[in-house]
Amino acid sequence: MAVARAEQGTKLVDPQALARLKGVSLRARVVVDGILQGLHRSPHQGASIEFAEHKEYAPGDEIKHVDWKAFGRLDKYYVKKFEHETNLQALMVIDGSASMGYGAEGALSKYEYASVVATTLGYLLLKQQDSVGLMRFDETVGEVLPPRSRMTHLAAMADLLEKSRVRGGTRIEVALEGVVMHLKKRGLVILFSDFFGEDERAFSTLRNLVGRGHEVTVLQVLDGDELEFPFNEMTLFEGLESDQKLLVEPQIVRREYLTKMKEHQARIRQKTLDSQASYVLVDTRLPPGELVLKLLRDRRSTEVGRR
Amino acid sequence: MGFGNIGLLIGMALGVVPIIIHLINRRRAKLRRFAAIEFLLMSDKRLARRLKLKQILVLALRVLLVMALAFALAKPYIEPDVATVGELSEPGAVALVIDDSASMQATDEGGDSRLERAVARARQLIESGGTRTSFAIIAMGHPARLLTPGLTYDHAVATRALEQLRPSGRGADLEGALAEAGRVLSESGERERRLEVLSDLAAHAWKPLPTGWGWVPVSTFAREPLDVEARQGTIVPNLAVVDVAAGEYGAPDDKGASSLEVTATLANYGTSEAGTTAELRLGPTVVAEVVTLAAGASRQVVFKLSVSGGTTQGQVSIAASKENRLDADDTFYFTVGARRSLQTLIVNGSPQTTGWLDELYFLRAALAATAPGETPIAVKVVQVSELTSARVDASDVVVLANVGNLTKEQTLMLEHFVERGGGVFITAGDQWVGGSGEGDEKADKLGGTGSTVSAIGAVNKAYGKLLPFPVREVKSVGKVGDPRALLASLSFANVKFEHPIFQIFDGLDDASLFKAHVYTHVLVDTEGRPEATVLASLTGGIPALIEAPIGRGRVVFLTTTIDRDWADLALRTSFPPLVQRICAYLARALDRTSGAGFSVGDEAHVPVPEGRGPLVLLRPDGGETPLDAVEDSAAGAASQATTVYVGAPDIAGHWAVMRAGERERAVSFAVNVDRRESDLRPASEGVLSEVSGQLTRDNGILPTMDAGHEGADEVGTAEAERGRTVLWPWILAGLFLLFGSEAWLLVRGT
Repeated sequence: MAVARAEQGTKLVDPQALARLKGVSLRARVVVDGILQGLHRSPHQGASIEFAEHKEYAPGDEIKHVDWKAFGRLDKYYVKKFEHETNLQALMVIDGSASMGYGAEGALSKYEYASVVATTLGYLLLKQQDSVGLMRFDETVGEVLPPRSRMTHLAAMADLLEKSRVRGGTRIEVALEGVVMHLKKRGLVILFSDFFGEDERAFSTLRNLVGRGHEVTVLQVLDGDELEFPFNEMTLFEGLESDQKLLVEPQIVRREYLTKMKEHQARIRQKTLDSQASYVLVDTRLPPGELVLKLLRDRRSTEVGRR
Repeated sequence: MGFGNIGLLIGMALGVVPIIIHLINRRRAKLRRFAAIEFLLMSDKRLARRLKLKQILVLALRVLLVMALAFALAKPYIEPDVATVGELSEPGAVALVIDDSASMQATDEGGDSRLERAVARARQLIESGGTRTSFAIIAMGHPARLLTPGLTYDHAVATRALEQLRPSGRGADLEGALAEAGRVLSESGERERRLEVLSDLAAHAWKPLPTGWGWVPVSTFAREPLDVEARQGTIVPNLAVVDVAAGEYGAPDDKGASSLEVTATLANYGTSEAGTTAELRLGPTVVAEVVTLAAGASRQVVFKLSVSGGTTQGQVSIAASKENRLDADDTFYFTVGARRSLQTLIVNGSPQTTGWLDELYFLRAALAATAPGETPIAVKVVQVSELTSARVDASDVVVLANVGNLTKEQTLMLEHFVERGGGVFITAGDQWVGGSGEGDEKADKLGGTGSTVSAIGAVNKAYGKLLPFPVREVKSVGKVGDPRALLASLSFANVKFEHPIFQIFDGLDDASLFKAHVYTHVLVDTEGRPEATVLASLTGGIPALIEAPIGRGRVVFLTTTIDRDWADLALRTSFPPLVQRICAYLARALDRTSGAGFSVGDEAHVPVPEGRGPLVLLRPDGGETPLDAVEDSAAGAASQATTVYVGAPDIAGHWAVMRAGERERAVSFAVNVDRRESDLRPASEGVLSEVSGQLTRDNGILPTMDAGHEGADEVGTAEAERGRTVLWPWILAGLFLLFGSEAWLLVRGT
């Protein structure tokens, strides 16, 4: 990716403020503005074309790519070979099951949060000539926008995310199988899901996806309520993906719940890492811009590590 | 189980409060749609189950807490059970009351009767008794009977007494049986006195005692229900013929045959509709009708038939069925035939030559005016000097109308007459104040004078114990018809409508009886004669009509006149039925209804058949008993039809009294099972507890003990309470435990 570094201290908008704005594209624009403010203050030294290796000159090669320093040292014509990132295909895979509709009062729901982050990332990727696509899924693969590199594609993405509604259960393996079908070239896959109702098959499919050369980042999106269970009054809890109900005094079950939730996160994280994919736990109370910067930083460090 | 404050048991209903609070909380609980509910439920079902269990447990504990608190406040205790083998082996006196009333013949589904179970249980109790335990066996069927010679240490005698218990048609005599048990126990010197009652505890028999216990303190009172099904809430079904009324509805034809209408009342005490066949047998005639009886309802079946003149005995029966668990009440016996007129001897204490001034002017007319179908009243009038033993013995009732003086012999003769079952009707008048025919004026003048006082004293002396209460003085407010005295006159204000004499006035608030004005009356001292009963009172509670039993007979006393001297009662239309019923009641004609005769166990007085010779009682089972010793009236020279006391018939059926060798002129009468026994429903626990409470609360002073022994009550109560197991302290302890458990559950939960 072209973004080499992003500094902290940018004016990132918090999720409560974002929730007051209407529309995914508007929210994404606000987030992008905040990110770009920070980026403009940073020295931008990245390039979209990076050196990969030398090869001996052969007729037909561009003269401008001859490495004259090497010729000086070795008395042979070598041509620099560059790796182009402009052909990176990224696919945002967003869980649109009913459980993603949960959000604390006055805040973005998990789905809305994921939509904003995905759109922001999409913008940044399109800005550097990469192509971006979108897949929404629940129990089946829903709407799919194949990766495109035109900036107008971003509007289509935002429109789709805005018009679609959360529904049904979660079948991540189905979604990942869909990715295989729609992403012909190796590319970047960013999966947004809370992983409620996840299946073992999801991770075998994930391994398969990584094995095909795709770079996969798993964002487990959870609401603050789900992470801390801050309820106190007698509450009748009702499932979002099922009719199950439980009347309970929250303080009685809090400890047990938090233990189980942590176990769940740890399991998802471990299985994701075991599948050679990246894992990020997303707390929807974190400003989306901060998350995007974090993702960019993580990706940068990953690329540096690769080199 | 009994309760010290049974009313507080209603507080147990507050046990619903925690449930209501729970439901309200549940409704008030905030509804939250939550994505991670799987982690509350599916990820840990065990926790959910545990939580639910805990919630139910906490709720149950709270309900229990409230209910247990109310239960404890009601002060429950357990009455000692029917003595166990170990208890009866200790020294003591045991009065074993065994219910042998008709309802005890009811069978359970296994075919055993309640009486069989009672006898078996009694035998078991006797066998378990130690050598120092004495037993008395008392049968509770009416009349209550002591079957052993008092308390006996010889258990073989007690066991043999049980063999005398037979299925009977008797009613239940709880009060009599308890009185007999108390009397027997009072003869024991043992400290431990036990009263054991083996009964079906039927509602018709078990009612709060009108007089309480009032006998010897007992250490244990136990009652053992034998109606297992009924106690379990099952309604024991039963069909019964509860009444039969027979009456002629047409004149006899040339051959002497009469048209008879027999109305049988059938009842279904079960909870489902039942069908049966009602069969009437009257001499050689048999008619039947299929009847369907709704649950809990009664129905009348009318048979119309022609019978020959000689027919006297009939019966209505219903068929046995599984909805009919008591056989004893399936047949109702009755008699038909000519009624014998009541022989009434009226002694005129103030005869007058002018007819309408005569003392008996209104009475004779009233007694002659009996309604068709009612027992005719034959009147014979004599003067005081003509009141002889022969005339009295030939009568059913003697009326002493304004008789101021009697000789000592006459008084003794009348007393003897009443003791043997006769009836005497006494009315007041001017002769009681030494009058000369101007009664009210005399009373006015002599109300408080010395001569009146002496005249009243003479009346008291002359009548002796024939008067239910001694006369104190004569009180007058004026002359009859005097408009100035009208406002001050008295009227009938309080009447015992349940008494046979006044039953016909029941519900008739505007009966002319209550419009009668009494201007002059005698005042009586109501102290010292507890057996006498005031049947009607005048304004201000002044006794107007008083009854007192003497021996097997009755005396009724009217405290004013039966003519117009002191009151205008004789002018009222209620007067004829009133005096007719007084005479019929005194002659015991009201004891027998519609030819249905008597109930088993009732004391029966029946008409003596014509002729001479020794009287013989014919039993339904064919047995014959000489009756000479129990004849009410010694048949004298002027012997006419009168009544004879035949004791208390012990079985249902057609009985008869005849002169030896003159069976064709026998007077038959019907004896039936007491129909109150047909209703097999058990008494409620509340009533049973009340009776038990009476037996302990009213546990009185031993009749043979010093009445001034102040501690007797306390000793009795203390002894009665000593046998109890008091439960409420344990329940309170349990409450603390429940509180602790709830707190632990909640603390552990958080």
